[in-house]
Amino acid sequence: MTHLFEQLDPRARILTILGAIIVVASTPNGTLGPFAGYGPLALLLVSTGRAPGIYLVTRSLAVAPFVLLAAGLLVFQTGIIPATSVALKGFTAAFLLAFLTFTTPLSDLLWGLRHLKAPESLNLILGMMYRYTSLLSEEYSRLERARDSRTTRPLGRHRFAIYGRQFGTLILRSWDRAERVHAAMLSRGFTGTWPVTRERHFGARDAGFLVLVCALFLGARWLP
Amino acid sequence: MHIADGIVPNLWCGIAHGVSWTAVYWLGRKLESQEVVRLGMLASATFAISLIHFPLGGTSVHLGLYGLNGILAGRRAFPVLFAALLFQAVLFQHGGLLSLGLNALNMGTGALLAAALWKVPLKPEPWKAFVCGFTGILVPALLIASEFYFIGYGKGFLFISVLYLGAAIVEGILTAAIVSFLHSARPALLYQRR
Repeated sequence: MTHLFEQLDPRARILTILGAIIVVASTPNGTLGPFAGYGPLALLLVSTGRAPGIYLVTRSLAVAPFVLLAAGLLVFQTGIIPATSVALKGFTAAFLLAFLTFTTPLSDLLWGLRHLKAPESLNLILGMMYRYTSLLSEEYSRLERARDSRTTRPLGRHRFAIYGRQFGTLILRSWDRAERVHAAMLSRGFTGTWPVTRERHFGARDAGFLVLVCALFLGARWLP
Repeated sequence: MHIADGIVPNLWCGIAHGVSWTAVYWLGRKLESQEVVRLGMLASATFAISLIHFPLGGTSVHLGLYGLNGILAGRRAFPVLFAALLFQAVLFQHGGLLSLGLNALNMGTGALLAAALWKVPLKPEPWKAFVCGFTGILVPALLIASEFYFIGYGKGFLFISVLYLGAAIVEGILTAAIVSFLHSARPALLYQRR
């Protein structure tokens, strides 16, 4: 069964989460009341998708080092309450972004960005990254395996030179692969822009969901 | 080093987004199709390398490679880094959607400075590459520290940015090692007109 959030146009999903994050981030430091509304609202929003809670919590903790550092510094400047509100803002925003990432495949996110009129150069680079990052990561793993199978001693003081050559090799290989990929793309009729494989429609339901979620978060923003 | 959402005021994020998107558009215009594929591959390769943690002195570090991006992609390093940061925010929640513009400005400035330094006719090149790699990390760290000082977080980040000196030295050494290898294996890659 496809949940409501996943049925929405990717543009609506991106804008909904961005809107909610903007509202949460605009909460003045030192105000904790709105979080009594943001929390249930974030859970309600999550219930419209199929993201597992443990995944969202784990992902939200990815921002912990920076958020806690900032909050820790703020404790000495303005006190514990502003620091707490900064930390809550950081974690809520990461939670919402994790929800978007889980429920929206990367291809849909890129489609959404493209149709939100992101610069074509960015779309093209993102499209290439989407296709080749995992491939090049595997390529690097093969380089590492090859090195390990031929090395009997620890890398020692030459490690920087060894890593440098290894990283350089990966860059060279990716460069050579680019030549082949480009030739193959040209043979398939590539003209400098990605072809649109499917059309979607930003309808009333998408707009309604976007407005409703942003309005609810805005309402919570004014809680005392 | 990626600023998360909710830490910096929305006004700052909005302005940074405006500047960053303009820079992505301006510095990425007139891309030829072959260049797109190369930049995409370069972005993928540097992104893949930046995900690798390698052991150093009892801990593990990973690279940013902003300086190397500047050396290899020139002014196109900005759109490349913007794409990489967007990827990191979406896939790993490193940074955020709202702070993406500010993160791109901080790290893109380091990469563009490295690109400018690389064009200075100085030798030996490994030393120049070291300076590029060093600058590529330290400048973003100092920019973040200054921003946090002006926002009102105090001088804490300024002290923390001193810690990045170590990371910048490691990044400089590795950038020099990569450039030395590329210089011997495929020098044309380092001296393309961009």
